[in-house]
Amino acid sequence: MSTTATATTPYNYAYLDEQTKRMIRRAILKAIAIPGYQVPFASREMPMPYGWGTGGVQVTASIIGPTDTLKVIDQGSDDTTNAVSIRKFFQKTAAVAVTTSTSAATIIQTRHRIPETPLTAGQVLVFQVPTPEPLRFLEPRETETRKMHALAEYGLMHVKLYEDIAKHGRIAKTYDYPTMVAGRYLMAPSPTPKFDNPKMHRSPALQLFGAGREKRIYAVPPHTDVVSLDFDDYPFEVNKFDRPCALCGAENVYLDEVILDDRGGRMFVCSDTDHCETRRAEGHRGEILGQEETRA
Amino acid sequence: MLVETLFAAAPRPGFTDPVMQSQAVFRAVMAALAEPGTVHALAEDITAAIDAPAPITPAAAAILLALADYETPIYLDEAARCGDVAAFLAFHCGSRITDIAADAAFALIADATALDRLDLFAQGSLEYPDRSTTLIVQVAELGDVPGEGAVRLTLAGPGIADTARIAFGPVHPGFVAALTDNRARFPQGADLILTDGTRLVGLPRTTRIEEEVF
Repeated sequence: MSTTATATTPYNYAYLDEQTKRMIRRAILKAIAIPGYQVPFASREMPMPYGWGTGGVQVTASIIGPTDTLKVIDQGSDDTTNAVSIRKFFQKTAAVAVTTSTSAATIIQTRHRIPETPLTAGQVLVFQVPTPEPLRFLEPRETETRKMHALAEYGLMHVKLYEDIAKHGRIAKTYDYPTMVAGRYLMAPSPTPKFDNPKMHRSPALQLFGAGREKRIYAVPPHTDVVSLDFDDYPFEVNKFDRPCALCGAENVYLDEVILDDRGGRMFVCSDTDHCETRRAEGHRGEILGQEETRA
Repeated sequence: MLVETLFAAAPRPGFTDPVMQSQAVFRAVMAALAEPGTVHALAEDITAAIDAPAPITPAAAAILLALADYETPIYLDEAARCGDVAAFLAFHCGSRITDIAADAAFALIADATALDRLDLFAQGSLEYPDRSTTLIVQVAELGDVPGEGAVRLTLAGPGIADTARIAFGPVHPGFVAALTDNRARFPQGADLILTDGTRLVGLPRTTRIEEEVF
């Protein structure tokens, strides 16, 4: 039907059929209108297994157009199997430009991280979400969690955080750390490290969340409050790292541990590969690269 | 029957490239609802291609063509219940046309001066607040200096950094009160897309409004 269908693929533009796109688009619009609320949608089978980002892929397929530039990251990295596969999928089915640069992208699909480079107005961040329901591990019944959201009854989560403090002396959750969106809905930020939670708060970018297996879509519009739950005497704190990136010397970024040999050798490097490469191109050098010719 | 007679009775054209134009219209609607108060123009090739029967404007028709289908009953206000409007939407969208506002997934409001209540439309439930009507409200003026019967609003809430201002009209004198009531029902409530024929502005249920006197 479309005059712009690509010659390289026998599929409709961006793989999904038009009725599916309309259904997902309607769910996205309602998700934006009710920030943090999980809108049920008729998730489709995708040509990849659940757990590989079928929710995020369906959201991206429904919003993407030929004028977009797509970036896909997995744990902050542009070059892992999952990220490369999804990027190629959209190059093939949507004839879209791709990039690894955070600032050049209009749509960024992500698993587990928010880029270190601050996002800007007009960008869309699409999260791949495995468990959209923040209360699921506390209350397995969907009928009950739905009622809790209806009544904004989130005492159970506060009890869980309190029990953490009683047992461990601190809130032990380090990823998928629960947040309140626009003061109304409790939201799972997908398994992003809690390091990234503050980046969601009043971000100028639109944030969309897709959970394929669980069949839910939710959203955080730009400039919307996303507050991590805490207590007055146990305030929310992000993970801290006691060293800079071994490659680019960046501080206050999220680091991955990389094992270097079988004698205990290891280094800590930026999880965000684009951020790290950009900094190294600018001349920043970390410990392992000898820290020569550092310039701002 | 003559072929000419058949052509004369055929529904008027919609999108020339449904896949790409639906995507472009959706992105404009998404951006409008994500950042309430910002004005989003539809591409000229889209609004020019759609020859919707009066009183539907090209932008209002484009929104329905992009988003409505057999799953979404459309409500038409009294002004829109005329001529070929129902046949046009039935042909292009495959949607059921309903007279019951509370059943509608979309509502087309051709005459905003008659719209004084939003609580008659589907509001969703506390468990499923997403099951609510999206209203497409046609106004003569949008985003410009307010004319007679128009309102100027200051907006705040999700999607708005500080505050935003928007003027549109003419609308019913009770329209602003209806919007305020709609906000008070959050998380239930209807969502609005205002359009002047080629441009659109989103007013989702989250937006807090204050009327400016001028």
